[in-house]
Amino acid sequence: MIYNKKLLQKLDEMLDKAIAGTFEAQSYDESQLSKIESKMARFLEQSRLKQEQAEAERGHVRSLISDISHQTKTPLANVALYTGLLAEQDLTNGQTKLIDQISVSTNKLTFLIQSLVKTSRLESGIIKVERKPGNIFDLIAAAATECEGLAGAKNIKLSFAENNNPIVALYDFRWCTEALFNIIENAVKYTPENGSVAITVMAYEIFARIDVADTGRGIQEEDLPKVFRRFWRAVDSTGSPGVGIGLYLARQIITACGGYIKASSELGKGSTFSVFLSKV
Amino acid sequence: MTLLKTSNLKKYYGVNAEVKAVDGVDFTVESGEFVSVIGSSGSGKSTLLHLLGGLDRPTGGTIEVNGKQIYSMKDDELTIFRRRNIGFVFQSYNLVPVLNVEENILLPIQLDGNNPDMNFINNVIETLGLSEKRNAMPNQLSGGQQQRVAIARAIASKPAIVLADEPTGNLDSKSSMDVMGLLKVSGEKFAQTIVLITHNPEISQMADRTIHIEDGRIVGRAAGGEGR
Repeated sequence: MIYNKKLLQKLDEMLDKAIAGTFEAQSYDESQLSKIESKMARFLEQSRLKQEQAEAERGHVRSLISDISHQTKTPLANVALYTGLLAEQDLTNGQTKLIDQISVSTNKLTFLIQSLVKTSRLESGIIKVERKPGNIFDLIAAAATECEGLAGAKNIKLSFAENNNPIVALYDFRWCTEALFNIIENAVKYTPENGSVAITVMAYEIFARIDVADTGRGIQEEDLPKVFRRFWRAVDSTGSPGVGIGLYLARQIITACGGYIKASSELGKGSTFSVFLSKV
Repeated sequence: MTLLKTSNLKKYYGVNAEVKAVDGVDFTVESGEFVSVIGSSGSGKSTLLHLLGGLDRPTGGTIEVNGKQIYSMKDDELTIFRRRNIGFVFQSYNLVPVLNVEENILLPIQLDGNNPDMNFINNVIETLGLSEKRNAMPNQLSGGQQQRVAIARAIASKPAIVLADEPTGNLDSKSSMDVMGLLKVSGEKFAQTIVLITHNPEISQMADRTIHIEDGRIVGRAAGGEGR
């Protein structure tokens, strides 16, 4: 084999430039190298076009999502409104039951569409999370307070750590409140009456950890990695309200904030969801 | 895209193959996935990791990485393939004591005769919380910090797959959570495929999917369903 060290070096340089995105054809003559340069420029141009195409397609998806959210808002609000008006009429017991069913489904649909729109916006990058240093006790207080009503209705003891020594982590307050709210709400939903949901905090060197521990029925081990999937619901959860999007959204948000989320559980005893956020 | 695929993988020891350390293991790992393999000591999980990493030849069966059957290669080919495609993180950190943090991280790239992409390297160093330690020597670091350097080193050369064997085996539980968290966060950030071997259920829960191994065989089909 004829080894042309100089040529190989030249090719290696060309590839380095291609990887760095700074490649340009250097020479235009009858040499083999010049031919290769032109071919490489053409190949890189093609990949660039493909990338642009993909970007444009993503743009279509984004506008479709915003159209869906915009166009379904009014009709859904109308359904809720007229269902409410109808409920105020003189109705038989049977009719009231039917209207209750309509309200429940309307609420579910509204929540589902809102959550879907939020996840799509996060995933497609329409919304960027803004990480700012903040005390994680503020985050816990904001999310837990929103769940107090639901917990009270089931006589569930909702306890959360008090703000003694602030632990400062990087997170987006609005989005992470939503994520933590979804996790706590989920814990309350799957805990039977008179149970408890405890929120505790721990600080490591790199991460701050928030644990949400419930006394619900627990999750089977093989189901643990699935709980954060979109539309995943436990086989035996059909009696409980929910559509299987809350935890998925929570995971997307926490991941976007540079943290992570995990679940552990013991069947019959309860589950613990842990949120980890980067400390400052 | 399937990145790693084993078919009927076997590793027997002894004259009459009396010890079946790995006995007919089939699974696949998709690109970008974080999979944990959990099993008690003696379950065959470490042998499995050695086979996956091209460190030991199987008695039977095949392993494909990126569509390439790794054990059809000659030893010297396999060595180079391993250097370019597989990043290792072991229980012991294996840092070079006379090199500082940054030099340790860059070493595998430079060994392969490549110029490191410093933007990427800086991003990795920052993600693993090592920005302030880049000039420190290994003996100035805690165990958790040393393991974070080892993870940065494994990711820095953009391998097809990172194999982690009990990466928190020498760490206390607090540092373990930090190290595992950073492994998970950097895996997601850099779309790095990771296979983690552990005996600890708390650690294995970090993964997207868990494979249980007992007596050299996969038991149950935890998460992901058939064949995954």
